Amino acid sequence: MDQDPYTILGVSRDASDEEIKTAYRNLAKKYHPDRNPDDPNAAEKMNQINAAYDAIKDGTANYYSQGSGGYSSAGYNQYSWSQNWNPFGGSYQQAYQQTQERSEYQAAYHFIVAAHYQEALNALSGVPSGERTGRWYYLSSVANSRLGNRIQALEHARIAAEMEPSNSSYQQLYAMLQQNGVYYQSYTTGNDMSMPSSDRLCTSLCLASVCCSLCGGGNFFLCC
Amino acid sequence: MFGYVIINQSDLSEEDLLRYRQCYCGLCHSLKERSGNMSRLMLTFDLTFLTLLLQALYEKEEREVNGPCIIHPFKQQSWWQSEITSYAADMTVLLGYQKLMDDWNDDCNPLKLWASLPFKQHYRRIMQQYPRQSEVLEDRMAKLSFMEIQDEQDPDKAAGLFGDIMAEIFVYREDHWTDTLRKMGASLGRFIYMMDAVVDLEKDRKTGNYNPLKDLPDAKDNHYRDFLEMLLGETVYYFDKLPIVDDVQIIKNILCSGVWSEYMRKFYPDSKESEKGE
Repeated sequence: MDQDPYTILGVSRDASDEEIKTAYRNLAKKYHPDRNPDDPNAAEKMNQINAAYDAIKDGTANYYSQGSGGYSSAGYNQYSWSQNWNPFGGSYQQAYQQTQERSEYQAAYHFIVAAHYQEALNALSGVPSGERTGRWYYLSSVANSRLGNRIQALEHARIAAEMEPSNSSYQQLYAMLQQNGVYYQSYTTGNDMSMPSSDRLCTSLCLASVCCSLCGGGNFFLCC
Repeated sequence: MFGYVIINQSDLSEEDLLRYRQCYCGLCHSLKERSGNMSRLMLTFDLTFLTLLLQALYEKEEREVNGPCIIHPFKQQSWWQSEITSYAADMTVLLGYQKLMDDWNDDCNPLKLWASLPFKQHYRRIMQQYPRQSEVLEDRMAKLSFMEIQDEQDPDKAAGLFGDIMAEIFVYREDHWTDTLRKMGASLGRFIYMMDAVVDLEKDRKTGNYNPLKDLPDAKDNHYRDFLEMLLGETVYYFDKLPIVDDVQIIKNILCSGVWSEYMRKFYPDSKESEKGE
């Protein structure tokens, strides 16, 4: 798409969500292929309108005006259950890894790094429930989240964080998996995530640093 | 279907309330017209929500009807129907029939089998018309029954199967919105299943009925609220992606407040919020 998505929909950059949706609907009515069966250009125009709408809703539309290095102002990135983050990217984790730990944990760790998540869970299941440490719940949460097992992932991240409150990796994972719930809370109260009120601001800052550190950045978890 | 996807009456305007009631009555009338009077007993709030959502997305032509109604014999009623209402009515019977067969398999109560008889021919018609939805429904219902027998304690597995069913039913047709509707349906389905497990946990522990949360802590003290909110976070995220302008207030009322009615009534019976429910 070489044209600015906002221009295609005919709305200004500061248009409200409702204005964007209304503009899309009006254009879709006009150009929908069902209504223009004889017009070969209508289908192409419709594709353009769809792509423009998607770009604005995904928060990628701002790249068009600010160049490829531009900063996307998307207020909220959903936690995607298949996204490609590296949970063991930080140097802290690697240092930890060299210390002695149970063979099941080591196996699970290597399976996760190799993207064999089910095998990681199988390895972990060999640890009797009475001997499961925070590390067990952490590894289980990571593997479950990569398999899309949302509920188990969140529950185990919570347990890991509760068992070892001083372990920042566990706290970060738990905060990251809570992202969608935080989004829901802001959605129900009508607070836009991009304009946080004072108590939301704290959460947003947490999430930003969580994302950075999981992507391999430093270990700067400063929070509430 | 469990009937959790309902409105919070106290937070809706008169106008929106009427619009919602007309949608509900329209669905009830479509059920009668398509699958006989008895099928009205299968009417659910969940499918009323789907009618409202798909109608707002596709804006199919609405027929407004005024007339008498067997359910409200002394009052003149008004309702609206569209192509979407017919679709939702068929999906209601598809789910309702499966529910009856599932109950029959569970407790071998011959009444359940007897109750399913009048719907058999309609179920066949709907199956032929909507093979995509009915194949997924039959497959996942069979797997859910198996899971109950196995006493599967992985909540994601059970909730995921129900999510699959809702995902297919949410997809009215293949187009640009298919993917978003499927994801929205899947997350709402997972939410409905887990909400039911949370609300029934105490009862299921006593009766020994299947519940995937049985080995986990009690549902009191908001223990499960964070994952219920997580699942709804996904639902509203995908809803927000849809270019919907009409009836947004009603849909948001349901997703942000109404869905908690049963939860609030059960765990916070004294709080103000629990009085708001349907």
